[in-house]
Amino acid sequence: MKKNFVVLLVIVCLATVLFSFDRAQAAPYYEGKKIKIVVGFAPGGGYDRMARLLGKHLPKYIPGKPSFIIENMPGASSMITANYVYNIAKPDGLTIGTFNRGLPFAQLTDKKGAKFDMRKFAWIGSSAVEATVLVIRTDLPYKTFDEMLKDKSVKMLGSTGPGDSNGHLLSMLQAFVGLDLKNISYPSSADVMLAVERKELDGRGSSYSSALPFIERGVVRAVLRGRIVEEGIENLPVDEDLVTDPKAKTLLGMRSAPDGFGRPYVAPPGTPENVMNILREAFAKVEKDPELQKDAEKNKMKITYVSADECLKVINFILNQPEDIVNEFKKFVQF
Amino acid sequence: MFDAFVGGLVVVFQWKSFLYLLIGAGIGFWVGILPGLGGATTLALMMPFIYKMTPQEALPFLLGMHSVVQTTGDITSILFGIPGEATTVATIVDGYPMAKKGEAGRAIGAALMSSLIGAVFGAAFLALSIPIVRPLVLAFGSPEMLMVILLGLTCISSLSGRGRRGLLLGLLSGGIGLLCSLVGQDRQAGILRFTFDELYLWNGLPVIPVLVGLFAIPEIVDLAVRGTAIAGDVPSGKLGKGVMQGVRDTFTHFWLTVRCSLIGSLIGILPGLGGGVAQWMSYAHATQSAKTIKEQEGFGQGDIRGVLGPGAANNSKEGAGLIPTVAFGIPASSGMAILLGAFFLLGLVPGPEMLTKHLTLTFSMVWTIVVANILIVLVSLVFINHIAALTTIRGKLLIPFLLLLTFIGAYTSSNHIGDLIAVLVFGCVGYFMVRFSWPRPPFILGFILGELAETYLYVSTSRYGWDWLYRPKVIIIFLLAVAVAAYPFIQRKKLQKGESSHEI
Amino acid sequence: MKFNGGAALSAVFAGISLAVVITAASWPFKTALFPVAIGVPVFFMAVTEFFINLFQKGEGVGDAAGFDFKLSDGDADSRTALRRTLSIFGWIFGFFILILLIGFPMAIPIFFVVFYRGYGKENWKISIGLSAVAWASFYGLFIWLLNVPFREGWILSLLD
Repeated sequence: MKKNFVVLLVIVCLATVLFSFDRAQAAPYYEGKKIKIVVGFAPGGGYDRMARLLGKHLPKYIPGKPSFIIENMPGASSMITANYVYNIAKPDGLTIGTFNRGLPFAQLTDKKGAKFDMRKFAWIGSSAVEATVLVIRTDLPYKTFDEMLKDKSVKMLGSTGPGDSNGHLLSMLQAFVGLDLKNISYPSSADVMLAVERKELDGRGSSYSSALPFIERGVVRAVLRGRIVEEGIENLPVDEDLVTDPKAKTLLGMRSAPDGFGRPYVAPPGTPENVMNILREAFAKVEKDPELQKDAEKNKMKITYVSADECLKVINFILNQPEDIVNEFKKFVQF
Repeated sequence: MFDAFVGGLVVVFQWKSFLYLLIGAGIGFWVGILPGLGGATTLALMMPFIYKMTPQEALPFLLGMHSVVQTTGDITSILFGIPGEATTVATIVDGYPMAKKGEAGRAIGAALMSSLIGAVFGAAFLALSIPIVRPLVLAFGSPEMLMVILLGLTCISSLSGRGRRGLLLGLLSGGIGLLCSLVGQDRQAGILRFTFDELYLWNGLPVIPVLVGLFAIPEIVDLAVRGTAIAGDVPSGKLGKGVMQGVRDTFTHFWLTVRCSLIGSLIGILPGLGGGVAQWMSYAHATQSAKTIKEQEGFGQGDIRGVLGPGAANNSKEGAGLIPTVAFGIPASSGMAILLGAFFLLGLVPGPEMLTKHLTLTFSMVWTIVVANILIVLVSLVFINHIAALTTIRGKLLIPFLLLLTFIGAYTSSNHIGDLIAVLVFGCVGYFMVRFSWPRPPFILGFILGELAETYLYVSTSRYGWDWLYRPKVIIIFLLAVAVAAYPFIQRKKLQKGESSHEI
Repeated sequence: MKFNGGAALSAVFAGISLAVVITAASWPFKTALFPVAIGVPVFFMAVTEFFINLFQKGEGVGDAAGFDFKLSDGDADSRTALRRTLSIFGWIFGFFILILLIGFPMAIPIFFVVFYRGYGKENWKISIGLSAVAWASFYGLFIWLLNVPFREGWILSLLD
């Protein structure tokens, strides 16, 4: 406890010194201020939970200990939030946003209403990696993806609608691997899970983290994953290995790419570099915070900091694809 | 099981838990009174406060708040004709006419007492159904859910008008509500329907602004036109008198109150339906209790039973709504979704464990609902005279306040200027509907349920083909809906017969 | 045969439902299924109601009216009622425009004072007193306690 405190003190002092050196000011920039996290989803979901968890623990790592407030601005698969952070919020480091990791696709497919350039946000990074898995009920006759493919029946698989990248995986599997399936959209992830429990669905595309409690309870098992991997699913077959066509490989790769920044955090374009560094550093450090980890563990959440550079690399990979690939991609991703 | 039952009560009365319960219930009191600002929104706003709390402190705080908003929301609905909560709209239909007749005290007394009975019933329902909750929830697949929605719509459409013309108007109004629910991005194919290039409309028209506009604006206009206080020419001093009368009314119609509580609980279990449907189904049920034609026509003009039904149901759904939330992690309403988020922050994982390992905590939630409601009802009963006196304030003084509450209430739903535009547009729609005697309740229900109905219709047909039509439970619920549609005609015949035989 | 308000309302809804069905015709099946399934019956019901209105004797829907709130037909004669209705709608829209231009925190006191002075003909003491009450409870509850984010008015954001 005491030791932690000393470490903390040193960090705070160091950061303060560094920062005040920069601005030639005594008080840290964030002292007495409030940082607002705008969340692109309604309260209660995964993005919201992550934001609240971070809001609880981040103040320790930001000199001046600002308080955090969470504002939910759901709608349009969180494009409303992205537009707000990009166009309206002031670039003063007091407003940051977190939104659907699939938003690069909105830009790629020229979705009407997307008024942002993913490359120009001031990226803080991501606080998690969200691998996509295909899960099926444990009481089905087929147990692996291979057996599933050979089984003759039409598989009923669920997703949560057009903005859901887990659902995109399903339609790609249907086209490239020949899995005979029907993709049915439900109002929310919880509804999909309930439908699985009452055997209305055979399985679903899901982020690994939200499927985990159900896997541990023995309701479902994971049989396939995308390229992005998390601890515990390393040995699952990967979607890209099941296809030979290079184009299909690229499309599947593009679909999984944003999973690498599962919970993206950005600030408005033009936020001063010194402020960005404070935020990036805080996000990097909070990942290792023991209290945060304890909280996260209880939630079965995993905090993994992905740096801003990594995030941008992923975005450039998606946005720099040649036109024929993009046109092909549009067939599957109706953002 | 019994240990946990008692243990839960003990948890609630530990001084720290109890203190947080008091604070929560106190906040809930005001949240319920303020129109628009709903339990769900406030739960989200309260989340930062629970960071440092233990589950034994945070749950009484949050649940204490969330479980009393319907109780005090009824008060606003009755006094001003403005829904205090999205779940207390049905109370307006008979409660507000009573306030206009100077019977605000009686109506509120009845609403409070029935709320209390409803809350206790819902909590008992939750406690009793813990062992059978899983099969119960799993029994309702998408086809069954679709039929329940159909049942709810038929209920309110057929009972909100009289005769064939009334049925036509009811169905028409419900249909228009369903059409309004089409706005937004289509869930299956991602096509934007009637969004007019506004991102704001992607998720559909927001519920709260539509509700508040539809109900509050016509009432405000009417108040201005009359140029008097809400309880127009009623001599002051008479208002508060009815409180005990209202409490007595609840016990006169005790079984009706209990039956409506049961409706509330049964609907409350089903994810997504919740309070929106429960209040109207129980209102419809209350109108069936009319014994003469004259009594039947009295509904909508201030029949106490029209207050008791929804009053009980919107509280009894609260306990029941916890069932899927706790047992499956499937929130039954938006408020429950946020509560679920709080569970995670507190390190509780919903699922079967909540019914075994954490059973005491689960029961403490049951008790929280009961205790918080008893407290709030007692406090409200004490202040009721002062509250009812608001209806004697000059309309001109009241109007800006009502307008402010309407606008802010709507605005807190998504903090977007579109909320205010929605209030204005649907205020006008509501005004014209009232002006030409089109019933608004079916519209509301159609609007709230449209999206779910579409999803379940699509899921049912694409999952089961047309086979879902032959599922036994589907057929039973369908027959029930047919019976509900036919009932008013049968009832009318029976009442006419009864009356003519009396005359002879 | 006479064209009245009820007929006009039905005509409007018939038009809307027709528009929905026509628009839906260009959508894929799974998007169009529900709109068409709802739009078609609504169209026919609205048309039926339109003709009932046109050919019925007398005004309104008579005893078919549902269990819903009715506008009071009290003391005010229809002309006064119409004038008051238009005037209050004017105030409601005015409040909205004010909020749009200068944001909630400033619009509230201004609207209250102007409304009490202009519409209510109250004295200054009541007008200012009640505005203060309204503003203080608004600020205390929504801004100070609940942290509800209120957007700036258009004028203010232009000044920035």
